[in-house]
Amino acid sequence: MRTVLLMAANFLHQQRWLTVVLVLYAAGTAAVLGFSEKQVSAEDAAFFLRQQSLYAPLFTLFLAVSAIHNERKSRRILAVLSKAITRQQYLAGLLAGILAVLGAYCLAIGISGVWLVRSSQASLGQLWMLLGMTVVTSVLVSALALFFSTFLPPLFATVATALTVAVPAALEQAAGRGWGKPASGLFAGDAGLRSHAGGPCC
Amino acid sequence: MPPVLEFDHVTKEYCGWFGRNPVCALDDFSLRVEPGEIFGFLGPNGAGKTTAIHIAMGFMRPTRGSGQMLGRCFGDAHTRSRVGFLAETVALYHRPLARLVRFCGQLNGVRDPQLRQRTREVLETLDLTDVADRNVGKLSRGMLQRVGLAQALVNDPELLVLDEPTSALDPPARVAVRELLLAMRAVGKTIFLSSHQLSEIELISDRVAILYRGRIRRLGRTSDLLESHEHLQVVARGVDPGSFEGATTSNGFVSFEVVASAQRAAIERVWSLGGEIVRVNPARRSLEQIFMEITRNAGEERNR
Repeated sequence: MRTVLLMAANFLHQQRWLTVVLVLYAAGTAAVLGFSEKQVSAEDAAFFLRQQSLYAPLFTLFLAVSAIHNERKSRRILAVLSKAITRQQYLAGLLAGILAVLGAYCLAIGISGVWLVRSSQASLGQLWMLLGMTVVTSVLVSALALFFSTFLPPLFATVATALTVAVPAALEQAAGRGWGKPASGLFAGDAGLRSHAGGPCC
Repeated sequence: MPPVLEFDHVTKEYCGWFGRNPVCALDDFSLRVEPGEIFGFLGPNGAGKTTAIHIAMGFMRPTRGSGQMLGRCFGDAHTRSRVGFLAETVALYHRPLARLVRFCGQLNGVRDPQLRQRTREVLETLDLTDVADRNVGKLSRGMLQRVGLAQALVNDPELLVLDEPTSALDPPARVAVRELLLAMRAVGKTIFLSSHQLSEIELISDRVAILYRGRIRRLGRTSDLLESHEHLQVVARGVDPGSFEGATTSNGFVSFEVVASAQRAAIERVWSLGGEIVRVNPARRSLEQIFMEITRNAGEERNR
């Protein structure tokens, strides 16, 4: 466990500037929306949350597909795998690092979202739901992307992850709502994606 | 005593997509490295040295065959905590040097206060104390190679696997590393050293293996390899150097090499020319000469 945490902390350190940029981006977007008008509308808050919760899985996808590729390309992977660390621990460490970046980003979205939703005097219930779905979708996406990137180049890993995550939604579209329900239940990511695609959240 | 490192009929083939264009990097490769020795692992580029090292470290699996490192099968993570490894291309995380060395020690399971002490020791030994707080990304290639050695040594390894450890070092640093390796051998550590610096290998290694196209072409004690039993060096005086092919003169002594079977004829010729034999020794060749001879012969054999 200690080795996994060490790898995660190392990944977070490597991606510290990206993490700062993501956090600032979320906070900055909220600030622009919040301060540009006297009264923040519910639509503005919904727009912000929908946009950020779509970006979160996308960012984690790109972070995850490039993690192993970058380590291989720079040959740093040799310096790590020559130590007393198993491949499983190494991958778990990378995943934990990606989730730490995601955690910081989602925290920024959450805090900014609460502020915007409160300013718009809308209900907070949908916000937590959307945030929860975003986290679950992002975790699923990063785990899948990391898995595919162990044997595929980044581009193919991205396509494979996108296809895998989109399967339940495609099933539902192809076979009707009744067909898609069990698959949607299994794949929380699908629910998250559908919530991004439309529908008021606040 | 069991070997520290053992390859047992290891074959490694690299293939393209769907098994096309297979390339055999190691071909039925067997080798034993005994405890407490410095083992020189030589070969031209593409001979399979790095592949052998990567298999031993568990980075890749052999196509056929197996092997052991410190009594456990290749790839055992726990065993690697007793091994120090320096890759041919030193690539490390861009962090302050001392923190990076600590991180590598932590990955190997070393804990404070032992880790703090070992970090200080290796940085002092490799003359890196002054740059301990500098980011590794800002160091020169030579410095980086020393950092690579520091991270390999921080866990006080029983076996040190080094792939080109001195290629980027300046002469003083190279001498320092050589002395460090000799000091490690003196305390019973084993060093598996792959290098193109033949003069260095010649100076410090106990045994040498020369690899060519995935096969060992020569293996033995360095001193045995350097001394030829097929050729003799004859040193004489009072003769004209032009009388003998390839003869050289130094301080009035004429020196030339003959094959062992022609020893008697050469001595009688010296006497017949009125000269005097000073000594006759087995001819000593440099590792470079042997290396070139082996790779040339193997190349010709392959072309035939």
